[in-house]
Amino acid sequence: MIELINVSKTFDNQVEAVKDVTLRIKPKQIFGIIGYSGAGKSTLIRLINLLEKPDQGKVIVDEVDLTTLDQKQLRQSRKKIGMIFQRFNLFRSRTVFANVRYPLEGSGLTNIEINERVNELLQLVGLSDKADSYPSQLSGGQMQRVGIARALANRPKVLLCDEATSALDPQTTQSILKLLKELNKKLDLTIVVITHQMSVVKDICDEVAIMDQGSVVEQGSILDVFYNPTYEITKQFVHSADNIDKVDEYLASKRLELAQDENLILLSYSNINTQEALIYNMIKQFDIKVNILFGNIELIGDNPIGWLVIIIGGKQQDESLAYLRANGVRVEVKHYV
Amino acid sequence: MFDVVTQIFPNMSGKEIEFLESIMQTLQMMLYSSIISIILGLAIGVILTVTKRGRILQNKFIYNLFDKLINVFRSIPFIILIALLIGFTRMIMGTGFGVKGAIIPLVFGTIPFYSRQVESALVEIDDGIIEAALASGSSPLQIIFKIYLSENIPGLIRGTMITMVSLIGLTAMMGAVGGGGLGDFAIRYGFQRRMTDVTIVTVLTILFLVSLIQSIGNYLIKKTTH
Ligand SMILES: Nc1ncnc2c1ncn2[C@@H]1O[C@H](COP(=O)(O)OP(=O)(O)O)[C@@H](O)[C@H]1O
Ligand SMILES: [Mg+2]
Repeated sequence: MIELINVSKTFDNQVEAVKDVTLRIKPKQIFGIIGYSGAGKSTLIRLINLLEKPDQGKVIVDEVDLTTLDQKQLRQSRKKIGMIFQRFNLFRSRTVFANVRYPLEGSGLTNIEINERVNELLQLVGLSDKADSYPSQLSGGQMQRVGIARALANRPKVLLCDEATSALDPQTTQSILKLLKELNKKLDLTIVVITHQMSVVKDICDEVAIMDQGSVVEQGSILDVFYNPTYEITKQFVHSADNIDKVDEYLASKRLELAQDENLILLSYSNINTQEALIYNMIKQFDIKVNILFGNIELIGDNPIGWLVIIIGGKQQDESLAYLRANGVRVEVKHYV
Repeated sequence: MFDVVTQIFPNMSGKEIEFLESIMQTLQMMLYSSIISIILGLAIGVILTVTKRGRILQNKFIYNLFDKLINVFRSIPFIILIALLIGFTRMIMGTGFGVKGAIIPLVFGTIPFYSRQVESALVEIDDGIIEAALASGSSPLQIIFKIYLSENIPGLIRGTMITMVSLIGLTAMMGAVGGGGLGDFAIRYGFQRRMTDVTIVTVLTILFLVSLIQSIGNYLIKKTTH
């Protein structure tokens, strides 16, 4: 649905905001782009609807290379690419109804058709009762819903979200994410989500790309990236969501007294083996003692991935760890001095 | 009504007609020059806004041209501007006197000021809002009319109100050089014949005009603020 091919953008001949990025976003996907502030995420998403003109590269949306279009054709294409923003960017002088109507004005529809469509959209985002309110009378979550309704007015195939939940509290964030997910299913909408919050990616994205200093350093299915982060920055993001770093810190600060034959082990596993009672089997089968210190299971999309910190003692440690490895569990021996 | 006026301000007696004519002349000067100034000032304010660096119709040459012109005209004292323009005024209007002769200097004196007022009202509109309109496929013309000229109506009214008040000042100055109106009235009687009570009546009238403009403006601002 969306293809960026070797796209670059430099500001004022010096700030390389986007460097040679190639991305392929499949139809009906929710695609996350995560990175720290200044990584070039906003520039990248603005390249998709050509609000920012690339210095080089192709921007293909729905099989059309937008960089080859003239202004008029480009405006036509933009009607099929909705966009929502961190600060909502609603028209202050217009009511909710008139905000949603804006993209439909002058589109060739009759007034009756436009009104019908606006009502339909307001219903879709659950704001029918706020039609006559002004943006200043709405909460953040409601404003973002208006933004979504406005972005969907012309039945776009793509919705671009630039930090759409970053100005919202956690509960409202959840409700907006839920709405995006519903719209993705109901309207077969391809959604691109830009964020610096791993929790957002974890909750709704199918695939994710990690951006650092203008480049996409890693991309793949959300499960792969979560379970096998390669780059340091990816690991930081992954751990920001699973708080395993905090456990590390805690253990390091506590200076656990381990007996001579005891080891501290971090086990991590993805959905492949959460069904089986591996730990139980291991204890039954081998001559070992296991003390479970911490554990956590995360749902990444529909897939559980988890980790467990244990102290293991006894004679058959090597065998039991081999057993876990054979069953797809990743085993890491931790040393703290 | 004039009976009461002439009782308190004796020198006003016998000048009723002339006084009313002066008010009419001031109002005429205000009306014509503000209509022209508002239209052209809005246009120039919009041009300044959209041609600035990073805006929808970014154009260095046009922006600099208008920007410099405004600065030049704003730095010329009004009374000198009148003198500078006298040839042009005669050529266009056929006369340099009266209400007719006043319009052109008033317009030249007002437009630069008003353009800046418009520009600063339009700058208050968040770039994000423009971006949202662009993303939804709006053309530059649609953005000018449906966003720039619609999103900050209260700000535009405030700028218009301030400009009208300063325009009253300019019309009074026109009086000194044969433009007629309340300024002329006050100078001829109040200043040259030392009829201080006539000056006071003129001041009160102008004060009334100013507060009328401000009340209407404030009412409209309240009405259009959401
Ligand atoms: N219009 C612009 N002019 C100049 N520099 C810009 C512009 N937009 C973004 N940048 C710069 O490009 C870099 C990436 O910015 P941005 O895409 O906003 O990052 P992010 O959204 O990830 O925080 C930053 O260094 C920023 O200062
Ligand atoms: Mg950003």
